Amino acid sequence: MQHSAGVTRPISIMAERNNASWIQAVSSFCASPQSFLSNITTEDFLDGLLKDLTSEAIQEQTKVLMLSLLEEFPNHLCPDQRSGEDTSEVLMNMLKATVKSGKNVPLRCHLLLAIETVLITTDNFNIDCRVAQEFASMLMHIIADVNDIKQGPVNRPVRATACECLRELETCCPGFLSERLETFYYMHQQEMTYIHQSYTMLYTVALKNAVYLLAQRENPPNGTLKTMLTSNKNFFWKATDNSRELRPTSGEQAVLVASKRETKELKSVLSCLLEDSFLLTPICQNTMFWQITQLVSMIRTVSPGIFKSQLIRLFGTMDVSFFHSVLQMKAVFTDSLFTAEDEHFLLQRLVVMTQHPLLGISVKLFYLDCLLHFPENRPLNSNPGENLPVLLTVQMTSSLFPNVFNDGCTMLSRQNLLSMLYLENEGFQSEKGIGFLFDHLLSLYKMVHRNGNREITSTFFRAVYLFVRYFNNCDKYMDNLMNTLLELYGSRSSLAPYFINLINESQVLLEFHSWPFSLSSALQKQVVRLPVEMLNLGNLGWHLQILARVAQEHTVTQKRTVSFLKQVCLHSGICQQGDWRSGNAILSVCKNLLQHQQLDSTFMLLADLLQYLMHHFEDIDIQDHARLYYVLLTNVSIDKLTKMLTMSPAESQSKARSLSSIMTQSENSSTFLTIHNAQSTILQLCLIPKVASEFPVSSEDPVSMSLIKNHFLDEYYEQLTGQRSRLTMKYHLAYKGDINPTHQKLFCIALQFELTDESSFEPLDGVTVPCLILDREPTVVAVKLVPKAKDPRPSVIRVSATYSTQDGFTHRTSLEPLQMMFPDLFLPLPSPPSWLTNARAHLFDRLWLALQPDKTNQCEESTFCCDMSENALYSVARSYFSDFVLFYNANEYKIGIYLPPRCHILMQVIGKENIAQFVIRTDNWNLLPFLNSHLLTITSQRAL
Amino acid sequence: MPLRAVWIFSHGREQPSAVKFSRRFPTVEKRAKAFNRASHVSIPDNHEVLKALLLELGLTQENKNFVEYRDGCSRIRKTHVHALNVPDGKLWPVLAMQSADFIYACLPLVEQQLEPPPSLISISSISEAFSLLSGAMTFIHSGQNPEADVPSRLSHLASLLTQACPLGSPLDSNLIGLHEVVNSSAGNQAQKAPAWRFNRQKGKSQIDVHITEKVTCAQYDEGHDSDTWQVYGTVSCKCNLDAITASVTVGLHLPANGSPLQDILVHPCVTSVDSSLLISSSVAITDDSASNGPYKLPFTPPLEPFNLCHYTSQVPVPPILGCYQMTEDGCNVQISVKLKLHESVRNGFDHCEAHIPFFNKGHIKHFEYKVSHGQMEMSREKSRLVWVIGQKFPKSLEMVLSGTVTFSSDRLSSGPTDAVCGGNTAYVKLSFRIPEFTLTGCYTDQYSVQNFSTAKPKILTCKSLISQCEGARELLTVRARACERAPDCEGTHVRESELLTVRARTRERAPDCEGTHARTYVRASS
Repeated sequence: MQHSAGVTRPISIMAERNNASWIQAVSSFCASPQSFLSNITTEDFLDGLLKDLTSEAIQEQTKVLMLSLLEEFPNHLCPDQRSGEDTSEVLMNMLKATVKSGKNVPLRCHLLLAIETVLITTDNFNIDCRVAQEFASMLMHIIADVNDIKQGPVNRPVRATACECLRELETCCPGFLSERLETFYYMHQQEMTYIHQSYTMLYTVALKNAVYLLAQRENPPNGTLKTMLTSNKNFFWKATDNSRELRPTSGEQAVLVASKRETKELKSVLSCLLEDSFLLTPICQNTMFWQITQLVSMIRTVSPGIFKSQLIRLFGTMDVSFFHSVLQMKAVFTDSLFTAEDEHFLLQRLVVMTQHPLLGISVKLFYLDCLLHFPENRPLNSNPGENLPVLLTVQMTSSLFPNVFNDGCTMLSRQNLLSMLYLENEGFQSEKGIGFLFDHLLSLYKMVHRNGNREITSTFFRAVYLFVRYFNNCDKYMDNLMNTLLELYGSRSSLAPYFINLINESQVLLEFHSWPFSLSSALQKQVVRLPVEMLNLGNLGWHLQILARVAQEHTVTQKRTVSFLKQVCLHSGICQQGDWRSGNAILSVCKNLLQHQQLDSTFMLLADLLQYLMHHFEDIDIQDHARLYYVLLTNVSIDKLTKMLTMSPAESQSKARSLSSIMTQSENSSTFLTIHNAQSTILQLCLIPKVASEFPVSSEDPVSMSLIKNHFLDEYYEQLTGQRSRLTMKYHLAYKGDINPTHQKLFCIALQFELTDESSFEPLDGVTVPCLILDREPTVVAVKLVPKAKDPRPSVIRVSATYSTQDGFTHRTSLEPLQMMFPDLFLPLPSPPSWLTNARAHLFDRLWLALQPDKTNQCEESTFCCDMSENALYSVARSYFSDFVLFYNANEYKIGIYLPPRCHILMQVIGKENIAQFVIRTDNWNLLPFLNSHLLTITSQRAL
Repeated sequence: MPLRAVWIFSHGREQPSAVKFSRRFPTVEKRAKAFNRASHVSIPDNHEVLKALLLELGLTQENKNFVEYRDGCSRIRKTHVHALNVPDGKLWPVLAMQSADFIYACLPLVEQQLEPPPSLISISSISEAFSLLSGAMTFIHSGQNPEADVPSRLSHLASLLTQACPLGSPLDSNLIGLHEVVNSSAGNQAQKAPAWRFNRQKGKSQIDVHITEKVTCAQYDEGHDSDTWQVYGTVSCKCNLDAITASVTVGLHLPANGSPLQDILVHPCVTSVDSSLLISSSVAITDDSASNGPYKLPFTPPLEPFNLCHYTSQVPVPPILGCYQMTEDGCNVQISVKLKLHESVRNGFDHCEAHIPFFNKGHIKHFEYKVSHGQMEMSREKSRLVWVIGQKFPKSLEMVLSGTVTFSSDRLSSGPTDAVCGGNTAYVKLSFRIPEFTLTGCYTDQYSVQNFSTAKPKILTCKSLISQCEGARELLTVRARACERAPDCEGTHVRESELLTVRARTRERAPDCEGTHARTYVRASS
């Protein structure tokens, strides 16, 4: 086997793939590109991908699938501009090759899409990139075959794809096609097959962007518009300049001042486009209307009236994109296209759409949202939130009434809309409407009351929230609502969390309104009235949650709560049962009571209660906590007490934990017990480079020769089986990127290693680092690997770390995987300690003979040559093989490498007349490709 | 006006949720970064998207009573456009539509900054997102055997999407149309054809027009305006015409005294709409000047069957009136049901059945009955009676069922239970189909269908009034509404009951509508 530099390409470490394994690889890549690429270097994978795209063994369907990776994840595969350019060049060559054959239509389409995507996303679409230029010209060439005259109908999908590619180029670089408008105009006119729509779309977008470019110029001379329409020059590469920003659709509009005479041609072009618009699919019509809408809004002398003829058709449509087009035109042109009467009619149609029984729920909800953002001709305010159109009347919305037949989303949206409407329009009808809304709430209540499922329950509480939001001033309903809610709590106390949430949220919403307080107080009364003997423990938990929440209300007196708790402790048997949870629930009420502003009024009762708990509750933890609270209550002033108790573990630093917080369900003490996934990776392992050492200059040494026994090799192999060689890789554990202050000191960092290829090494032990502090020396981490594979090969090791931060939280993060390259597997030949230094040189010679290839063994000999001066060779040997050189004399080296557990590579290297020759012997020929690629890498760096 | 990404996820009760399909559009993503600037949130891996979506839709931790982020009362979702919590921030606007065991989602491009969030109406690609997802949904669930075909259709989707939306800007949402004519090639022609008519159609020229109406109705027999009903119709067409630019006009007629069709929505292939068609609307005050036909709709038909138009109408009475009474005495329940067909309704059914379910009462042990017409059957699980009325009401147009149902005494452990239909709350539901009849009187005939191509096609027209299966949820809510109006009657032993609710609606494109039901809900009160 002969290798020579410059002829062999580096052999990828990726295994050969076939159709099935590519399908598998594509799907796992799509699932998570990052973790896929942590097992293999991006370059290798991309190389393999591009190589196999040209392979005949791979089916076309699979190739299309492989191309989809480039179409969907170009930035993962081509992380930089350079690789993007190279990749697109390779694809371009493939495309040229397929064009000749005239077959493979789907593959060609996908190649176009892949090249387009790679060029744009890697910032290569500009005049400096040769592939980009070539690609743009090729697209023009493809689409020039109007009506399939040259290539025939088979090629039609390719033409359509090329049109789409050009349209996307134009959209990403607005104005790129602005100087070839005439060409596109004629193509769009001439194309008769169904793909005429792609040509039309292309022309429309190019036209709009061209006018926009023109509008941005200051005082363009007369006739510029006309010239632009008939321009037939080249691509406008300036448009691809990355510094040009894309213009948001809303915001400052550019305006082109042009005389009526000048816009005459443009007008006729636009009329033509609109006239034929019905030939496009609804989605394309929508796109086209939007482009022309933007265009007309830029040129004052073209009247929006050109849309008139389309409007009726659009008004009556069932298609969502059509109707959206009308709404968009309305937003842009207001009364210059829609008279007051039109506006009223449009609003009516919109209301119809929000409730039409034959439209889908999602679309109807979208229309409801549109109704609240209806673009009015004369808006009363410019509030960007929800606004009722002035023209919307109570009567128009009568069939929008929510009912229990609706899904939750519809119910709530309708309730929201009608509530706004009734609040805005006073009068009998609105009064009646509010009554109906309340009835609706009651029917929901009945369903919840009768054990409605979770969805209905949460819908009910949301409906209550909405009702409270809009009608909190209608005392009649609010009182009634309160009673209904109390009744509900009476029958289903498991809804306690919903009630607490309702109190919290309505407090946020209403700020100083008394309703949430009244609700709290009423719930408290209802709970304390319950006969203690009849309580079951399950419900007690809910009641205590309610009481704990109510205890946070400073305006609600807490005496009855404390009395109730005392009764519970005395009579329910809860203390004898000693259930930690129940005790804890009682204590959390106590905790809130301790912070209550009117603590004085409950002081004695509370002290009694706590004392009772510390003596009678059959759980030592609860007793302790009760004792703590008791001590705090009786010894600490109220101010301090509040301060101490409100220190929440989440807000303050580590101290807080030591104080009084007990585990309550509402608190996030549990955050300490969980391991959090870190937001970003802040750690990294950096390989510590090995220091090149001097190697021995040897000469023949007859004395040591004589020491060598006959069974020299046997002894060598014997000790190989005896020992377990380890590779030790040393890394610095260091910070990476910006570190926020809480993470500047890390403790108990536990690194875990996971092999991606379990056959290569013994499982790895974790490494623990006591601490890591920013600005201090990085810590050295030694990773010890015990190789076990028969065929050593490069691999990747995944690393993750858990660490604690100063605030007591534990985080987990993944680090960049460690790459075990081929040379990392090298060890010097292990010789028994009893041997003298020179014995190792002789070991080389013996081994050399032993590794003579023959038919029965795995041994192989190979030669690697390259151009290299003697000095360069010395420096290569010094830098890469210093530990392995066993003999060196006048440009001759003997290098012995051991790859645990059993493999060897021996090299006799001779440098002569600027040629370096590596004669290689190994006992495992599988290593040769890796060695070859390693030699290529190191010699190409040091070559002449 | 493009999309950044499209997904299909499966989310069934039995199987774990999974990513079934995804497609990203990096060139659009690049623009999103430029437009959204600081507010841009990049799209995470698919499984992250799925996780965030399930969380947002409240489909996680189903067994937990209350979870604030899911059940909090201030989290009011008003549309199906969501903001997903992903590692980078809030991913918005994600449109997600659920259908069968699938969630269809996509992320349209917003061509401006996302803070403050712009209104949906101002996002030009939002309606395309709706169209494309509905198109994908229709495609996945179409065909003879939707369940079994789903996997193969999912695998087809990638190549169809490459055609319909190659670089993120959709060209077409009708994937079924694309599916049928992939790789077809029509010869050159002198005139531009609509982009949705790829092909000439082979075979016999034929135009089929079906008018299908549905009625939904809830009857409580409480005098005032509590009864409600609604009628709506769909005109569906299938045209097989050997011309690239075929032009067809369908005329819809109403009887002279018929109330005008309202809220007409036409298919995008309709080339022009007379403004008089659109005047009559359910939200406006009825205007005497409103035209009541004929309604002419000129169009260029797509290749596949399609719905030419939808309409609603206000008819004065429901087709069937009902009354349901119930008296409970221990294990015995006496029931009586009366049904009356309105005289204006055609007395000829494909099928007509009344279902009488019982909840919370245990199994039916014994049933004695008298029926003036039709037969009684008991369901296999012994909890529901089915009154098979058959093809015709008797001459009097009235029917009566009376009988005594005896239940097994073991109420709790057997028979279906229901939170709402306890005690005096119960219902009867009606299921029927009347061929060659519409409640509005709307019809079309071969003289009203015009075609302007050379070959004279065969024209077939038909009409029907039917009812449909609805989701269990709606069923439940109907009952709840009934119960809301029921007076409290604990402690009474004798209960009489009154009437009732009929609900029916038309399945889309249902020229053959076997297996559809109309329902009559009956509430009993004391």
